[in-house]
Amino acid sequence: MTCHEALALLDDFVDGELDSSVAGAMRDHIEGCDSCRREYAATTRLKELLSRAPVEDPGQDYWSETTGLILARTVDTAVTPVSELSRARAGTRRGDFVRSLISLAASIAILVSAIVVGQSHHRMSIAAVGEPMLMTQSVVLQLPDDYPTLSLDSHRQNLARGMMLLGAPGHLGRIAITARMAASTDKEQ
Amino acid sequence: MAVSVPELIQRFVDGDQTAFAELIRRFRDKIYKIGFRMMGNHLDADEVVQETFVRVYRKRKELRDVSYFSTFLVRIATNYAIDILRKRKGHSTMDSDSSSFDLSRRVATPQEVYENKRLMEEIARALDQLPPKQKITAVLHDIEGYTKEEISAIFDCPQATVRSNLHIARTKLKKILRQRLRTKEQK
Repeated sequence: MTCHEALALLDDFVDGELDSSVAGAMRDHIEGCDSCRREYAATTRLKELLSRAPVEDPGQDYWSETTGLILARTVDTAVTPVSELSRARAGTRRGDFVRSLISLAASIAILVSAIVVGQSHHRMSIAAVGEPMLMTQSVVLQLPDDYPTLSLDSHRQNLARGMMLLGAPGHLGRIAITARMAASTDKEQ
Repeated sequence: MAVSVPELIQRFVDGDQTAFAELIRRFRDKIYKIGFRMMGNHLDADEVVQETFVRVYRKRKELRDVSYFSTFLVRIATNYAIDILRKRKGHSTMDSDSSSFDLSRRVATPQEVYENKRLMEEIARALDQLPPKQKITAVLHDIEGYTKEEISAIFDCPQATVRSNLHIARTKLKKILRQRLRTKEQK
């Protein structure tokens, strides 16, 4: 065995991983070669030194604390794979969009309802008396024909004004009716 | 009777947090030692321990296909340690207080404490001069006692690569520690 071959096999020899026949040849070579013997001694001593390098147990307190920290970190950690996470995020985005659409539709519906209700009240008032009467038809129908305080149109207008301003038509309806009331009052005068 | 590791893993994968705590208890020491040997100080070893188990938790669905939990765990720990070392390339990982931390609880004579401290510092400095892959190969093989076959499984590489890394690491360490390695007859 040459020095080159011996050095190539030195690690395996030190680690006890050579076949017995090759290991025997190595031993023979090392006994007769100062240079390879020194290299063998150095490698053996290095292994021995590294295996002695001390690492002490950091103590039970450390382990208790660290185990608790790991468990705390993993309790809230998402286990969901990234792909599922992306799908979930996409789903959330879709949900937000749908909710926005519903909110917008509801807002438009309320606005349209307010306008329609306001206009219909106004139309009903006109239909009840033939002239711009500012009172809801239902109120007119409920009043007795000989109701003494409503003998004049102005009385009816005053009653209607109070009911409209307290009632349901909403701002747009009130604005429209109030304008109509003003016009009607001017005309009467 | 103690629950077997495969059974613990099964329970852990099914969401049993106590099984996970038991796995941590059984393997934390092994990971701490590797982390300490790799990083050279307690704080970084602690980071390796925590991050390793947090990553295991995140990858727990993969555990159904893992035959060797220990190899899986060591792979995660060493990969994380290698990442840190690569990021810190050029910066020593040696903590001046680390040796005193290690030896503080050791019952030994003052001479032993001093010798151990010096030895620890020398080895840590020597290991610190190796590239991460060579360093972890030397740590796992010569310090922690893993076989070349086990290391090749951990790194998912051929055994020839492990042999090559180990040979280069030993050659460099012998140069760095030549004073320590002198035999009595050479002195």
